[in-house]
Amino acid sequence: MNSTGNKNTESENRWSPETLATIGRLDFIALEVLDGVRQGLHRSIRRGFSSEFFDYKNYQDGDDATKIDWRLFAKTNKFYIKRFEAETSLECMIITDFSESMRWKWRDTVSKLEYASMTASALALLFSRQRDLVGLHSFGILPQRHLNPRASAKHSELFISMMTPPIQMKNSSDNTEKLPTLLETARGAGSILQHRGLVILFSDFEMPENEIRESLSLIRARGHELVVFHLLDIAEIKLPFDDVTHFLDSESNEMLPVNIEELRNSQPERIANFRAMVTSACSSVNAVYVPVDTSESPVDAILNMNRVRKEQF
Amino acid sequence: MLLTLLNPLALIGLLAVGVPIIIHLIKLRRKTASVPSLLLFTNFKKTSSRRKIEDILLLVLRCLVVFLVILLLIRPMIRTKAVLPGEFSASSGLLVIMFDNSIFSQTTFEGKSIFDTYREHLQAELATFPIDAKIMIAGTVPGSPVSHVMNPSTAIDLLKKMTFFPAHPDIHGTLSGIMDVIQATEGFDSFSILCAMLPDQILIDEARQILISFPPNSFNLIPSPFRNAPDPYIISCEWLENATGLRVRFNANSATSSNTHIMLTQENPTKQTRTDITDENITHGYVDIPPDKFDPENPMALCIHAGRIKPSILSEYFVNPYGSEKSKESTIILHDGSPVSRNAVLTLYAALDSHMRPEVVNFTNTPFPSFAGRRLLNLIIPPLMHSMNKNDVAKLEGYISAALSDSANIILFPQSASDFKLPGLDAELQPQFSKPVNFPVSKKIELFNTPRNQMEFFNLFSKGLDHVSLDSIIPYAPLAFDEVLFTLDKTPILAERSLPDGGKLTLWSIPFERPPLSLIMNPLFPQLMGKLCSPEKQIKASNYYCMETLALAKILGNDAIAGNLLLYKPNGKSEEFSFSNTNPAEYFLTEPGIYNVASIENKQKKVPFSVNCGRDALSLMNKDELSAVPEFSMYSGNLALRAAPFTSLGKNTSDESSSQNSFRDPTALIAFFLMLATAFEMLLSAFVSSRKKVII
Repeated sequence: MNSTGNKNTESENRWSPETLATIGRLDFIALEVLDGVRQGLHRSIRRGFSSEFFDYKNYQDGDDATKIDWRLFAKTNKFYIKRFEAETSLECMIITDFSESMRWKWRDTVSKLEYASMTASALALLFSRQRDLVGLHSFGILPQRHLNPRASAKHSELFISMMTPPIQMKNSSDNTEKLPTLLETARGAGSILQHRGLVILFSDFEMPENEIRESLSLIRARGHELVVFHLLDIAEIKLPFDDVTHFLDSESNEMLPVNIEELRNSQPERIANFRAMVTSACSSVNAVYVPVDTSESPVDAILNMNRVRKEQF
Repeated sequence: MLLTLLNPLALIGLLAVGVPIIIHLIKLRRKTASVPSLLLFTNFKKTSSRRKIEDILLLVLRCLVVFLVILLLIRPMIRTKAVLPGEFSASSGLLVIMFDNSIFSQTTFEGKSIFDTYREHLQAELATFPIDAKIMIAGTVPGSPVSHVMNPSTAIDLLKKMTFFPAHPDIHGTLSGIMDVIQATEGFDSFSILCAMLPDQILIDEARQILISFPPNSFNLIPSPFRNAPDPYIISCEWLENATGLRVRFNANSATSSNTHIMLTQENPTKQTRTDITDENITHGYVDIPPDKFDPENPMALCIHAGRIKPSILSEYFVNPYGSEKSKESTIILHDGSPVSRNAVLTLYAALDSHMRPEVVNFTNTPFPSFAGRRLLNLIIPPLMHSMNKNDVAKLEGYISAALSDSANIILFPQSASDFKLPGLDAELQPQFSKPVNFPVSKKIELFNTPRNQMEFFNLFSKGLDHVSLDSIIPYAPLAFDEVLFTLDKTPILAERSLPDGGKLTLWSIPFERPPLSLIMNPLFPQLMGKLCSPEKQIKASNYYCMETLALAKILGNDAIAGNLLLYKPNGKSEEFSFSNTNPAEYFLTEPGIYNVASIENKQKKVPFSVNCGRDALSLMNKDELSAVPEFSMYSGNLALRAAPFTSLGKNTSDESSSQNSFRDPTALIAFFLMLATAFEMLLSAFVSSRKKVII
């Protein structure tokens, strides 16, 4: 199902999260998603993603004026020059939220973390093949996972293995040690990604609003381009719980009495408000916002990201 | 309106109404679901903690469904105003025939078993029924099923196929089974149970106890309608404790009167022999037989016989030891005209008829019965001692004096010794109670003034004999015997009451020729009866119940003294009528109840008597009323005159219109509401379920 809710064709069901999850190994899943992205782009592998996936640099004195993107000037009234893959190696850091809320899943569906793993692994493969540098950083889990940006086959394997959600996750309640937050990660963005590059953030952003805004701002302040994948579980949207009288927070174990019928009726508005808040936070720092729910195909998520990024710039 | 529950035990099923409530409460328990984060729901406040209206409505509907199911099992019946059983139409009424097919139905009468005789009568009656009449048949043997409702033609066929069983009847069980079937069968406002069995086989009171769950006037219990019945007959055989003997009960009607000898025998059909079981006269309504006296393997062969002593036996009494066969010797037998004495004397008379040929001196104005037309020797039988006029009394005195001067015997059969005085005899020579008076010459006045010593009189006949065998007695023929009691107009004399100032009230009952069953079941029958009778003999609707031996009593006041009488009726009104010996007053009594008669001159001194046109009234008799009517003969053999108020037949109040009830069966209505509730529950349940489910 895509984000509009319509049943897709058989070929697109091939890339549904549940179907991909049946593959089992994340590296194979990533290859499958990559295949889907390629097919979606209708481009040859040789040209790859990076032909569209370009970098902009503020025009400075001495730069080649022929490379000025006049379309972008028309939009922004600022001079930018394009930089292609051949010109530079992109440094990309994929920051993934490994918190308890990301690991939560409804019955046999795919969790947000599993979804993020699929999508991030596919992106990593993509960058790798374009000889871009891709790294990994986690928050919300201990021990933290970090890979400096590299571009090699072995590095990709390492990336994928570190992106694989562990089978048994330590609950924050079992661990007295404070888990690293997004804000802490954003504060250390300079050390995470030393050169200006692309930061792709996978999170459900189920955290205080000010933390979100400050974190995004800190990341952008480093000059990094920021793409935000806002993940929501389809169960969080549809609330398929029957005869439930209380909700239990998977992270804090707090209890909330609920009337499931009333909740279900008002949930679309609540989701819309939530997304609007995160959208606002992203817009305020000029980050690319990609809303995703776990019913969508990771292929569509990546293609959406590409589309939104093009539209934005 | 009152409620009756046909199956009250099912009330315990109401506990099941708690099941939906328990399930509902279980569902209300806290059910927690884990969510990624509550931050998404921080603005949510549960607006209402009350249960959904749909859940409450579902709970109510489910409880209602369970309740209605239990209600169907309980089978409530709503009591409303109803109709008299006699006024129902053939389509709403039901006749249940309780047909005795037990071992006792094999009692033979006139060469045929009662089973066959009654079956023929039933089939003949049913053939006259309308085609839409509703009939059920139940056998009395334990395990006999109650048939389904059928038309008369099918009932006749079923009767044809019925056989008897060599088993004791279970009247109680059969009535209970009939009651169960009727309660389970819809569409009948009233029903009648016809007891096609020997009369004493059923105790009406006991039967009414079983039928008590029905309103008193919704059913009609009809005792055996058929006259054919031997007398006596065996009612039951039951082993005594520790098998010490077999108690054979038989009906205690006129067969046990003082002039009848009862014997029990056992036939062996294969050996074609008969064994006398009892060798002495039975004086009670039962006989206990020691185990070694009969063959327990052959129970059906028990026979009970009744009869009078043969004249040859009686004649020995008169020949020896009291006198010789000389013609001069005579025996004077006197009685006071009471039914008891008359029975005894006339039995003796009939027994001596063919042997002794006594001379009859008739002191009545009415001729003697025809078969007594032969000349008898020295037998004086004044039927109504106290009704004799002065000339007759003088003539009797002459005979007694002559007898006393000879070696004659005087045998007295008075009703009561206290008011019986031999005319012409000195006071000190008057006979005392059961005390013979001895005269200087060998004369003897023997007094037999009670049924018991009258029986002893007859027992004397067998004195010197080792036993009385069947060969010694004449088979009992009650009808022929009773004819002797009738006057020429065939009205039986049943009871007499002495009037305070002299004179006597003689009460007759006129046996009402019972109409056929098909006519009784006809709803027009009461109106028809009304048209057949003249206004003064109008049968009241309440008398409709007296279908068995409807009796119209008649007062005949006859006395040497003419006088005026006041008759007080049961309704409290009084009526005056005058009478004399030559002009007796006849008064038809059409109302059952207690009457009183008093002379005009002395109204305080009332003489009570009662009239009841009841069936099997013996068991319905009000003992208090019976004691208010003195010297009431229990041996008259006619059930028409009994002391029992009409209210004892089951009417609830004096107001006829308010006392009748019938039942309305609300089963169909309950079933309709049950279907409706179930449909609503299913619809609402499906609606709620469809809304709740979210599939992703």
